[in-house]
Amino acid sequence: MESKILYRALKLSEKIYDESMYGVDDLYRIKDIVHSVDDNHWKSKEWLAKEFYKHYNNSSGNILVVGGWYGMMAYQLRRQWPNESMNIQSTDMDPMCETYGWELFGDQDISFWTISAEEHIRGRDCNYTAIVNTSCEHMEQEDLLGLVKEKPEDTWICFQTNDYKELDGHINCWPNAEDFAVSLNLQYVAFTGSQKQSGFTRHMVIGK
Amino acid sequence: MYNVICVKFGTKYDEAFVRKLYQDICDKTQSEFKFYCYTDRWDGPSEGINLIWPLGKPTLKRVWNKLRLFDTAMPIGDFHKTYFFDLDVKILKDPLVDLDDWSKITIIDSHWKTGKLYNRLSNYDVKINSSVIAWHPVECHDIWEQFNTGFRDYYMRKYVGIDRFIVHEEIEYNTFDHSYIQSKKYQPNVDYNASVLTFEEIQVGIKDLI
Repeated sequence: MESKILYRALKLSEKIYDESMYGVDDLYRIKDIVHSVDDNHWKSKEWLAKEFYKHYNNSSGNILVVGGWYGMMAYQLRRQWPNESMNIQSTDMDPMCETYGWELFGDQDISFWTISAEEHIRGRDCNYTAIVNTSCEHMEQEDLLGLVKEKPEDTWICFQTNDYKELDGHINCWPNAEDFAVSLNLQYVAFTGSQKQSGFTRHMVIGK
Repeated sequence: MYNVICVKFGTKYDEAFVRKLYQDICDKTQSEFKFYCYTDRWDGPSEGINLIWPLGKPTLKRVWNKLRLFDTAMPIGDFHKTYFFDLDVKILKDPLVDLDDWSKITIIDSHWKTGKLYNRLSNYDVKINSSVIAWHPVECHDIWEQFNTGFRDYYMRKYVGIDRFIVHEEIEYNTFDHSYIQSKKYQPNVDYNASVLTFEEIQVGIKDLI
């Protein structure tokens, strides 16, 4: 974990606490932000960025992050592609992710906006060279298939899910990466793999 | 005419609990009612029980399906006063009471919950519970609409269940008269005849409800 990210997360926590005294009272955001910069999120998102970098083999493009939370995934992608010619957008259905994403990673040339996966599909956004989604366990399978179906043939997908069914928000878990890959109906699978974390296993599929 | 509905998702409670709830209400009330069960699985006979299958996206797990009852898409009579019962409650006498105010939900006041913990700034536990809910459907669809937003997933991380969602997201509610409810754990002895016995924080088998 980089100290500047940790420092910003702490300052953001202070700001949320101050806000809770006089305005919006939502102290749970502090816990949620702490979770988002947890070591397991850092490692799993870094894993995706580094693995995808090997396959993408291009210095420019337009990466869309779906379910991007507070921006850690987009930040890990920016670390791999520091050049301006790689456009990175982090999206989430939760409007506060946009607000806090700018606070945590505002200097990283990442754009944050609020939109759900379903709205992406309806909007038929098709100028992306890659769609990254590390929150597949929170999303309807129908929406994941919609993202795959509506994308241009050459657009990469990099999806992660996990096998941890205990959380109420985890509605789309998979026992292994291979089954998850098959479920996505990809034309081409470049990578499937799994990463053991404390108490669960994260699965990743990269393909087109 | 009332709607009476319960929710059975997952495998924690089986069909016997639903049939028991239905039969107990039949036995105890003189009011006319139609009985529904919102469920993702059903084995065996369902006489008298109108099954409602999952409404689809968004997929919800566990207790969060109780909030779906307020969705306009829920196929229950929109113009009938409605009662929801958890499957781990015991019906002691007629539970279908005509309330004074049906413009907001009515839930259980857990008045037995006391202590300084509840006044802490960071405390998320609440002094209500939703083992029984009464409402008029046309008046309460906004509860589902308030939940089913971009914050939906965040709410499910933040709150362990819908009781905390109701209180902390400032859903307006009334509470049942204290004499309507008896809590098995916190009120082992009471000097009134309650309509419903609740088993919050207790593991319940079908034999406990007989």
